[in-house]
Amino acid sequence: MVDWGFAVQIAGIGFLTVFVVLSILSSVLWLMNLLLNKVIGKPGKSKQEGS
Amino acid sequence: MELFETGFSSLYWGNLVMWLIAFGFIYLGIARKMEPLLLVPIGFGMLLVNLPLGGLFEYVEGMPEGLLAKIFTYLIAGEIIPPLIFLGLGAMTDFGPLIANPKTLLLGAAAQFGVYFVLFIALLFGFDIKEACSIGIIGGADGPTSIYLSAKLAPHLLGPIAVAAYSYMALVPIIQPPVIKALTTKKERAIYMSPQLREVSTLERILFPVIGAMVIILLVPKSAPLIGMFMFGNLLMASGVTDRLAKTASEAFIDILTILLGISVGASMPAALFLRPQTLFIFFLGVVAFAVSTAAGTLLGKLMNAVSKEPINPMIGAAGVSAVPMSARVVQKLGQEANPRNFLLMHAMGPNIAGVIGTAVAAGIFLGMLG
Repeated sequence: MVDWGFAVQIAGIGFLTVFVVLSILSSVLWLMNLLLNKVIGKPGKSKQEGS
Repeated sequence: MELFETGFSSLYWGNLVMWLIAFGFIYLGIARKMEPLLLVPIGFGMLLVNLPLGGLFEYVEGMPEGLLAKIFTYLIAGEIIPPLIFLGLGAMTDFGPLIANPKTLLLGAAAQFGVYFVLFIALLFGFDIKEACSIGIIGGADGPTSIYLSAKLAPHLLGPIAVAAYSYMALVPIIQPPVIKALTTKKERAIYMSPQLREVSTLERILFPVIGAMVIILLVPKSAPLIGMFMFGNLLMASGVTDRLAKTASEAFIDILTILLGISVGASMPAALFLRPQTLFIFFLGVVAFAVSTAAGTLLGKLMNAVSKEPINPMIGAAGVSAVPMSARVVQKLGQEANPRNFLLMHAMGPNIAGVIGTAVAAGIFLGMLG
């Protein structure tokens, strides 16, 4: 017998957690860039793709 | 030699069917050049194990006796090769596009939707919850993660899941384009994105694997073997002082692992195991998971394009599955078909790398809840 409540819990919490973890990582990257720009100064504006 | 001592006496129709499938894999790898590094070893392993009495995948009283059975049991099911492949992948992956455009991490998260969608379908097909999670993870299109998770949650399904995951990774150029085209207009596919990305400093490249590993593993501890090795491999490359280690990890080391993994995964498919309804269900559910993940990534790409100030080609969302760099290449090809000025490869690499991280996190979450 399938415990659908448990399955919904696993899928719901699982998918939400993936989003939360990657969102936090995204924020950390943004913050890291911000801090480095303030502390070290802005690196070159842009560079060509693949370089 | 008497006839009964040869393999002919033990041949049955199932072996012949498996030969055809093996020939198909080898043909696609060699003649069509579709992921030959995966399909050729898998196909040849499949062929070898379906030549009766060879004993390459033989188990005696539950213990592996044959060469490929030993490799499969101790190195693959024993969870050694999958994390080490992540080390090699980390050493050959440029995190620059992801660091330059962190919001693409969200596309990698959206493209895990197929994993959870298929979990429910697998339950409807009669699989239990652990089996369903192991099948669903195929939707992440990440072979090592699929193997790692199923070895822990559903080791009896490891063979079919591994073959399905690696087959679909190789078949990305066939599976993804119809889904992407069905969900986007030609105008959307032609959306131009500047090929210029902001410069990513060496310091950022060094900090990311260190901070990334800390953040992810603290949040999802069970993802440590995969994420830890992935980030370590990347640090070897990014640091600039361990070039020899990075070169070995990204070339000879991962090549050796790929050989061992490919041939033994193929060998895990004797006819008696492969030709049964359960395996066909797994293959069917795997392709559904992969297609739904592709669709979810594309749809989030459309949403981001709608709300973003700068145009975002929604196709880059489809690269949020983990098949690196196949998915990104598919997006690049479709982008150039729609608009020859477009060069989407680097934009698609961000979600593609995010997909690797996302699938490993999803697996870690499953293990945390069920392992």
